[in-house]
Amino acid sequence: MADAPKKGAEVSLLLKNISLPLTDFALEVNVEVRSPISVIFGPSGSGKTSLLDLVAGLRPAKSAFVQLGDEVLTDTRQGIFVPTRRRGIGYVPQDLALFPHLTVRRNLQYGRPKNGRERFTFDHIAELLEIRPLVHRGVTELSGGEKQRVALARALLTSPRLLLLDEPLANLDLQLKLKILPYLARIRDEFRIPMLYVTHDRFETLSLADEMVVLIDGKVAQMGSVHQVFSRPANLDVAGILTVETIQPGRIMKTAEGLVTVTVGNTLLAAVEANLPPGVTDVHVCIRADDVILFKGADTPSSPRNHLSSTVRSVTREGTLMRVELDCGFPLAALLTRQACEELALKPGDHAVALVKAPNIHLIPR
Amino acid sequence: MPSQHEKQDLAANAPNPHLVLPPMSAEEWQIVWFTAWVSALSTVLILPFGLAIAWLLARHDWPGKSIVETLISLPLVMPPVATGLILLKMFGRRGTIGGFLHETLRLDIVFTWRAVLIALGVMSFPLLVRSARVAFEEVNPRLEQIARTLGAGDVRVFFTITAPLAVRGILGGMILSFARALGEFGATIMVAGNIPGQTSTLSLSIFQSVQLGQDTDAFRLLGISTILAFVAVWTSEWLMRQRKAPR
Repeated sequence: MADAPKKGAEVSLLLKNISLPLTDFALEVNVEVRSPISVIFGPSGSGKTSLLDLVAGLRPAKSAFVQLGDEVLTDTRQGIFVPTRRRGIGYVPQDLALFPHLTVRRNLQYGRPKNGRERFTFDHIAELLEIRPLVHRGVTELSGGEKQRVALARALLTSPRLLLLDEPLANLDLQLKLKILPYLARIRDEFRIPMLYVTHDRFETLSLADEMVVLIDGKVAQMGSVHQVFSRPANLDVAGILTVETIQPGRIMKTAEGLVTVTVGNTLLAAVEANLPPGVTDVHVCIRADDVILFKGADTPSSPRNHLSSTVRSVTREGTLMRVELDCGFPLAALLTRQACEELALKPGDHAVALVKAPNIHLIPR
Repeated sequence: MPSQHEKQDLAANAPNPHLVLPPMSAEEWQIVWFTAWVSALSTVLILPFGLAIAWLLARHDWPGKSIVETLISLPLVMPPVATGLILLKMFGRRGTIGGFLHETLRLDIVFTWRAVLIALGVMSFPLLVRSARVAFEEVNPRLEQIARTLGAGDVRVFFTITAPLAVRGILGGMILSFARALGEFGATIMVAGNIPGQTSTLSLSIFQSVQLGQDTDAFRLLGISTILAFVAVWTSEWLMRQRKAPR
């Protein structure tokens, strides 16, 4: 069940035969991404930042072929290397790299084209990112969220063809994240700049991206639509870093007394989600497999809000645990100990009731 | 420990600057001005080269880098007189550079003020390079890289990001170089001699005065040296405070 693609511009970024030796492993990548926001997902130290540096032309590779749209930016075989300053690629690094000796205004003006070729006006960007009140301040006087917006605006003011974002929300707390996320969505929708977005946060990934590349130890472990990767991790490593087993598109029906009622297909679920922005109806419903409790026999009243009548589809060993795939109107995964699994004598075709507490159903805006 | 009586004797023999020292002669003023401006000029002249080399050392790896590093630091550890001798051989009329300059431009170096300038520049060069290099290394390279993604070329990155962020270290290096030049002795006397009115600097004159037993002259020049050194160090401290102040 594929999501409708998110709004925004598409451009093809082709990364072929990338080989870059790093300290512990070599970055080896062969992908083409073409969605408005593509996430490079991976644990820390998996080579994500090096990959962005390579795309920006800040780091030479042993071998690389980088093509953006129809322009070849790097081709080590042909000896082509477009210098960073002519690539037209905006870059917001993890530490933001605001120039500490310049005011916000001069930071913003640093990369503005002087020949009037800018695609977006200063006013438009200033308004969208709400930075107008900040321009006279020094960079050191800004809060974390303000710095983030200034760094984004500075990159946007160069009218880039592609925006590279390196864990842009990693240093912000959840409240601030929720404030910045809509700005990123606005950049995607209003300015139509394709983005390559590095993160290891599933919340950001699900909120923004269509397509994701999972990078583990410098190699592409899986790539595909966000939905596809999250619901069908290619292997144990990928499943391990994603940490969520069930992700389904859902729709919020009502919110009453802190309890949110969501439908997934024809199934009704109760969730508690205090951090949802108001007005959101389309969500990803996320359930971790170890939050699912199973029992056999007749359903009896109990404290968990969600009692899902299910059919067992498969039982497989996953490390020291057993992974039970269920069908409760949508595919649901549960992780049990082997002993529990043996006691219940679960086998495909059995009927079981899955219990999930409302706070364990996590909703992420789509 | 000297006795009370001996201490009084010592105090009586020491020159009292207010009572004993006559005012500075025109000749002495000339020495002071010459020393100050030739030191300043040498600092300014080595600045572009010093910054370029410091930047290359701080930001790039290239073949022969360690050799160049060592060569630049040599004047710090070699006897200044030895450095002076090398300069004398290079810039003398029969030296490679000196001979060339003499034949093409009719320009003599050795035993002129130009030799003083060269000696001071060579001797203070390592101090400038070291300070500037450390200052450049302290600038986060990420800032320079991001400036490039914003469309800046190498020159613009240097003048708008690297140099402004390293300016304290650069100024510190310049003041150190200037102070080193003020006190230079060994290399200068080898390559420029001590020609009154032409190549005499403060250090050379102090030495000469002591040699000739003119202690009062030496003390007067000593006083001037102290003031110059004080002003240089104080200025550098003041500059540091200016940079630290919030803008």
